[in-house]
Amino acid sequence: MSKKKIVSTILTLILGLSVLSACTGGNNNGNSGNSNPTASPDAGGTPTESASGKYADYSNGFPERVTLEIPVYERAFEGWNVTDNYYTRWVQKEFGDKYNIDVKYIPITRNSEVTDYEQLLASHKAPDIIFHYDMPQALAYYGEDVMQELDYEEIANYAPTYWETMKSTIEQYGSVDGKKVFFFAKRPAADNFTTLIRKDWVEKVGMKVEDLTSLEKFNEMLVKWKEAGLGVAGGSLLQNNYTYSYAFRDWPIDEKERALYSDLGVADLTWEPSEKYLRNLNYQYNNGLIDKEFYLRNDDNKIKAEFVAGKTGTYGLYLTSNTDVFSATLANNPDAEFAILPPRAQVPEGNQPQGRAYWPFGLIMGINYETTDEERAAVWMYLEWLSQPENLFFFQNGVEGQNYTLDAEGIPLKSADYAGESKLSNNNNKDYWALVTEMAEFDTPEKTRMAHLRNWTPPGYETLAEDMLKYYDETAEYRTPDALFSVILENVNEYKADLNSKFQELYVKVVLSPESEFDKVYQEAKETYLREGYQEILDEKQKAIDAGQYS
Amino acid sequence: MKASAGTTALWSRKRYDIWGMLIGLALIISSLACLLPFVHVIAKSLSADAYVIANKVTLWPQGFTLEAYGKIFADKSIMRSLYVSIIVTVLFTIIGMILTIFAAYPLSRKQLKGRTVITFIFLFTMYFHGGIIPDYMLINSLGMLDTMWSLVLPLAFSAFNLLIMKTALSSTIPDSLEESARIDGAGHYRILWSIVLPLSKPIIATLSLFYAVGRWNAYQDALFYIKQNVDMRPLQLKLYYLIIQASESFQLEATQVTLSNPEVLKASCVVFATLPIICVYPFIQKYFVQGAMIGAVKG
Amino acid sequence: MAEGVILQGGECVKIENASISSSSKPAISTNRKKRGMIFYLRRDWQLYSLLLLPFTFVALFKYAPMSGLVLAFKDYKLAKGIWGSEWVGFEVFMDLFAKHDFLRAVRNTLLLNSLDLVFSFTMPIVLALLLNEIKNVRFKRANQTVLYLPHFLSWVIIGAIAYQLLSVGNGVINNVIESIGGNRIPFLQEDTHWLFTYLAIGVWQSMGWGTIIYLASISSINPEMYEAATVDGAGRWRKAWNVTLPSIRVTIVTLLILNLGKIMEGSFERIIALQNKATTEFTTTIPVLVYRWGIEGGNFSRATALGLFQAVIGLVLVLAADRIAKKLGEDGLI
Repeated sequence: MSKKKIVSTILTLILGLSVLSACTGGNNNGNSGNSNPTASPDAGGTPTESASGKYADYSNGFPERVTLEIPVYERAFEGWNVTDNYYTRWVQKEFGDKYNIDVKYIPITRNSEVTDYEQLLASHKAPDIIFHYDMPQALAYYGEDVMQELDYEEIANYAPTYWETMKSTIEQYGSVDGKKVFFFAKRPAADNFTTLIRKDWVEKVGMKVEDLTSLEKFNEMLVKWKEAGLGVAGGSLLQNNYTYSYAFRDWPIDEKERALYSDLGVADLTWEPSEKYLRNLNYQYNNGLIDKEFYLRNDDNKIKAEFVAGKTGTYGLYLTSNTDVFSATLANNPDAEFAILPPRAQVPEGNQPQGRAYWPFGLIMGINYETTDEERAAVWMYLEWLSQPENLFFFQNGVEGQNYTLDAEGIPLKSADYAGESKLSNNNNKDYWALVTEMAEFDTPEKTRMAHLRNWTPPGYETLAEDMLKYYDETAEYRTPDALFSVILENVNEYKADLNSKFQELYVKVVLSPESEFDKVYQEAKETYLREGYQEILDEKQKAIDAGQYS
Repeated sequence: MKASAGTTALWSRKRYDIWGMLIGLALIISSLACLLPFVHVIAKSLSADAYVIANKVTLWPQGFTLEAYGKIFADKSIMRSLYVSIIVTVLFTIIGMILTIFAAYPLSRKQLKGRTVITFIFLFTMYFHGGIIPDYMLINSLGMLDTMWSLVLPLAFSAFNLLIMKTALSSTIPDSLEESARIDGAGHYRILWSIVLPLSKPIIATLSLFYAVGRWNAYQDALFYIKQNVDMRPLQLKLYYLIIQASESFQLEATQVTLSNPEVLKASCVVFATLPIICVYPFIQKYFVQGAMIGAVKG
Repeated sequence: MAEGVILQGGECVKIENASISSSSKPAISTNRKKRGMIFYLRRDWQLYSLLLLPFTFVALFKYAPMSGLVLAFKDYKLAKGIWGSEWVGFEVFMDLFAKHDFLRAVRNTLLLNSLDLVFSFTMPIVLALLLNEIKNVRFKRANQTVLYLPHFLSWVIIGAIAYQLLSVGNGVINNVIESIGGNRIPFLQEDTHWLFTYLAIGVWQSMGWGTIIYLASISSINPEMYEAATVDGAGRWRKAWNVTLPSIRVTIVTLLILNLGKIMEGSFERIIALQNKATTEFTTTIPVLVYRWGIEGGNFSRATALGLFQAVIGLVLVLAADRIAKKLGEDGLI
């Protein structure tokens, strides 16, 4: 049996089958029940002109039924059907039926969302909106040519309220390579990430939590903890979101330097603040002041386990009213007391408690390149409708008297364990209204603050939430957003994943090395990091900075 | 019942015993090493959350509670997932075995022309795949998305299992056996049905087990193919979601989130998902009894 | 129907096909007359008809999507689809081979998989032979059922348990070692130790399940052969060596060849579950790269190219191993 014959048979077979599948695969235009009218795949978003003005007026509904496909995160909450529930039906009734729109929700699995989108896009079944929380990935989608160009006037025409709120953000951040592609959801400035500390441990060594006003004092305390045999500071593996060097940076900020180095997705290993951070960590590690196996704590559960078991004395978390960390810690350490770590405790003397401010947007969205003009208009109208306070409120809170009751200040008080028909999803329908805003807001800032407090206060620990907000306000002036580039940084896309992994390897090595060898190991780490792609990223960014292509 | 090998010579009994004991001991140690981690998971599933979070649970539950199991059985969608998994697994195994036998028997016959080429065609598919996107597009154009068939059909035929069965059939169904049957006037269908199948019970049982367990444990394809139809989610997919949900720290979402999946629930889900398939094995075991089949054929 | 053509399997009997089974069919090469395809189709139509069903299946579900393999040669853009994307030839591969981590990943993959072959492949055979020695049916069954359990635990869980037991800081095993006066051992936190622990855990996870197929083969051994061996004076181990082992030789060879073809693959979950960032010498492997570049990074062209690389090597190895096996007198795979 000649091998040649075998090989040629195989190749012919594959070729034949490839041709076959090409006929099926290359032609899927709106099949499988997709009622998308034939798509015009050009990038131009020319609006439909009509006799009565520049944009067609659909306030009485569309002449023909339009299908609007809205993406929504699928988190597999128990008993929750993300595409068909009380609220989707309500949207259809209040919005869809009014304008002759069929509102369909397309589930996107939260932790495989990119793959989901890619599969949907490849089969031409993707929803009208393509979204992501991270700018690099949104840029990647743009790079795949799957987004249309936008006409801001069209948005202003169909969604005036939404445009009013988001205008400046969209105008500042929404363009790439000179093209207008992105629109955003609002992200109000608020944050409930904080660090807990074991108050009883602090007091046992004769100190007070309020006295922890610098890194040096904090380290002193850790030494005392160690001598008293209490425990160590919590530690974890840095990954994915790199904000570790803020406390070690200079103030005021050099804008260009910041734009060059400060990046959420690519660690700034070679920058001086990084060196200072690593040196401090190296000191803490070598003197037994920090969790010796911090590099094994690569998810929240593992970090929490150490704190709950009473081995570590600090723990960073998103403070919410239903967190279980307090009860769990008390079960294992009945004498535990808790406090919020003051913001300056991890900041070296002479520096400011800098932090990363969120960009003013939440979800980054683009319009599917296959979306028709009518469907796009429907998207704007949906955003407009969603931006109306009463609709937003209903979505976020449910039915008055059932899901919640209004208290004296007009803030909704959720009915615990409500399980009726209008039950909200486990994250309060967030995935639906996240298209317009990241957080619930009220008419006055005070009311909003109070509502936040409600959500963020664990029962019995009101002071903690208060402290957290107090510190948040105190450090407001030192929180600054990163630069956002208006051009695609190819090298970042190319090397990010590898550099991420490499960074972790290198920085752990640096931290674990003996103090005397720190300089040498750090130097080597820097060289390796630069060599494996960071230098190219820096060069590319520098070019963009020089050309002023950032904001 | 200890049935000593009939013709063991008396004078070697002493040596036999020592080796026998050592072997038994080695097996006991290996078995313990395999059993204890599972006991640990069971213990976690019966413990109170606080101790599990602190990693204080080893082999015995701390703060004994059946709460997590109660939640599982009360949740209708988990029972539904169990049901789906069972149906899918059964169908998958049956279809898979039929396909495998239909391919293995002809390919094990040396007189089949083109045998090598055809085997190669099957072997080839073990290595070369188009990728998840072409797969998805195919399932989409076949209209099988969100249906049970997307879980049953695409992977039903395993070239790996085919090759195992083919070699097994080649060696256990000698040509002489086949020849005598054909001289008696039997066509291949008859031979397959009356001779090959009964003789191959061990290998059929083994491969059925492989198919069943493979299908039961895997969820990656369900992750992509079952989206809208929540009812069609198999058990392992549901388990996967539960675990992912519990580890997600909801970083970007600063709203109040009702976390309903503590560590204990994760452990109980693992136990819940594994027990059914483990219970299948005892039923398969009877096919592995030594020499039982040889006698049947001779008669 | 029988037409007197039922001779030694027809024409063109390969000499290598000397079967080790109990049939003593002499392998002669006779009748080298060339016969047309029609003849064979008519003679063996039942066999071909049986093949039709699996063949259609494979053509539809495996070969149809294979056109996606061209992505390894294209600059894939979602909007353009598979056919519209630009052809770039071997550029993707050049890119791929030039990546810093690639060579390290290849080395690690080969290393880990070869060692796995040595340990994880042989252990089930040993275990099967040991189990075969057990005469007490209940004890045997109990052992078997328990030995399978690790196969059902996902690597995520195994990883968590592994660190709980073996970590230098608070691992249970290390606590025990220390309490009896020994030094704590960095099972997972030092490169060489990590390698051995990784292999050992791999053995543990797969040894029970791997015995199934061998036990199935063993169960078809004629008990008379054991009796004959005993009469000849063979002890326990001689019997195992001369009766049991040869009978499962075919299975062993088949599985060996199939596993050789997987030498460039491997389990992504297993590495991720057991790796940590302080011990990174051996933890970058090809499956990890496929995940990192393909699924995390969304670089579909590169992931496909990597897959193609794995596949070509695997297939070549399998065919080579098959050839060697045939030369050594085994039946081979194809």
